[in-house]
Amino acid sequence: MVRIEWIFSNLRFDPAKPLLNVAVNTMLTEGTSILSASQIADQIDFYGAFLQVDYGYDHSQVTLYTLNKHLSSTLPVIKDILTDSIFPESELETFIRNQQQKLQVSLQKNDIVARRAFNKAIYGDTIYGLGADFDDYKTLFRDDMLWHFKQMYQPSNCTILIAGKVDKKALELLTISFGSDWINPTVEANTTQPELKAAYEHLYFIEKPAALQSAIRMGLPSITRTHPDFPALQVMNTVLGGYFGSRLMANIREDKGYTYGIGSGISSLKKGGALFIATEVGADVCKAAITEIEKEINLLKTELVSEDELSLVRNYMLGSLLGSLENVLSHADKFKNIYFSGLGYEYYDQYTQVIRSITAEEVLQMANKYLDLDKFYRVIVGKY
Amino acid sequence: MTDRTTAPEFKDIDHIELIKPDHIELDNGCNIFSFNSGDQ
Repeated sequence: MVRIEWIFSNLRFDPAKPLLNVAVNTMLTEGTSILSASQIADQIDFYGAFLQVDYGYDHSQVTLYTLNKHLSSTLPVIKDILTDSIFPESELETFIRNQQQKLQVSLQKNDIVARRAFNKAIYGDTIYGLGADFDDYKTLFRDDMLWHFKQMYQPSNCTILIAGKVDKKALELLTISFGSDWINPTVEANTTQPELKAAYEHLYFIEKPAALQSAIRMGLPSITRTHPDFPALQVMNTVLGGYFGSRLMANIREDKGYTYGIGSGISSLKKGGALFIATEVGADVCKAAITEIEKEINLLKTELVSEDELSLVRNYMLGSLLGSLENVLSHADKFKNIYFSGLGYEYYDQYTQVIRSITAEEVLQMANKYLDLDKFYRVIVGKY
Repeated sequence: MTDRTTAPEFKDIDHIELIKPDHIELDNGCNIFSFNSGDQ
């Protein structure tokens, strides 16, 4: 068995046509000049293979899981998709209708509304800040999608990862299919992105008078994986809200009972990162929950983490890293993290080294350097 | 037989060995990274 991923950098975000990257990727399996959507699905099914497309903030991809012996039948389908997708008008109409319906459902969920507002505030009018609204779908046209497709899905903008039983034959089939007769168009893919610009307004309250729970999302722009402080910041983040026994969980879930779950995280994207805390709490305790979140942040900034707690977090983080490596596919995933950040394997050596040796003082320094409450963006959806 | 009255020894994780890929760059600029596990 092999897993093959065709990964493409997204094209530069156009605020006037914000949905092109996501729509083109999502609709890659909806038909080519010679295969209809159902023929693509049938062909893949027939060989017991599995095909999916995924859209991400920085990259979009096509993934194929297939038995080696069927590569010569499954690869041509992918080749066809990547070189000759036609985005049939009827499928596009269905896509738009489905997406608009999904959107209507999503917008009823406070946590989703909070995430959209938070991303918009932190990342501005960029591909990361985009929260598609109903009218954005009116800007989607087949001609634009075809143009976008031709620009983006070209060989010089493609990285292929193949993992599993990669024997000589598999590599040969792959290089033949995606080699010399896969030709770049004359125009290079423009994969630059506008600079991120965080909003001036730091507080967003979206009132839902009937809400039983309020969604809270707060945080600020932060560093990415390429910054030397990143591993140490991850340790601090884990202490704060990165695992089930974290400070936020222990206080706000276990002790106060305000929520079923609360966590913090760092998102590291190509153009920038963000550190955030997210939860849904009882609508009547929203204010109290925010007070407690701020209390935990201030504690991290003023008091040293005990050696017991730090050692627990160290073991948790190293154990998670080790536990996430179960087969060769997960090794390929680890490679993606560094490769697309422009880092080498020494990153993982530094990462384990930092986790093993970090001191309580350094955790405190990280908190003071990266958790400035005055710079926090706060989004509350529900009741406050 | 395993003595279940004492917990197993605790070992620190000091180094993580990752599988590194082979790399080919095709003439059209497409990069291929391969991770071979052999038969599994």
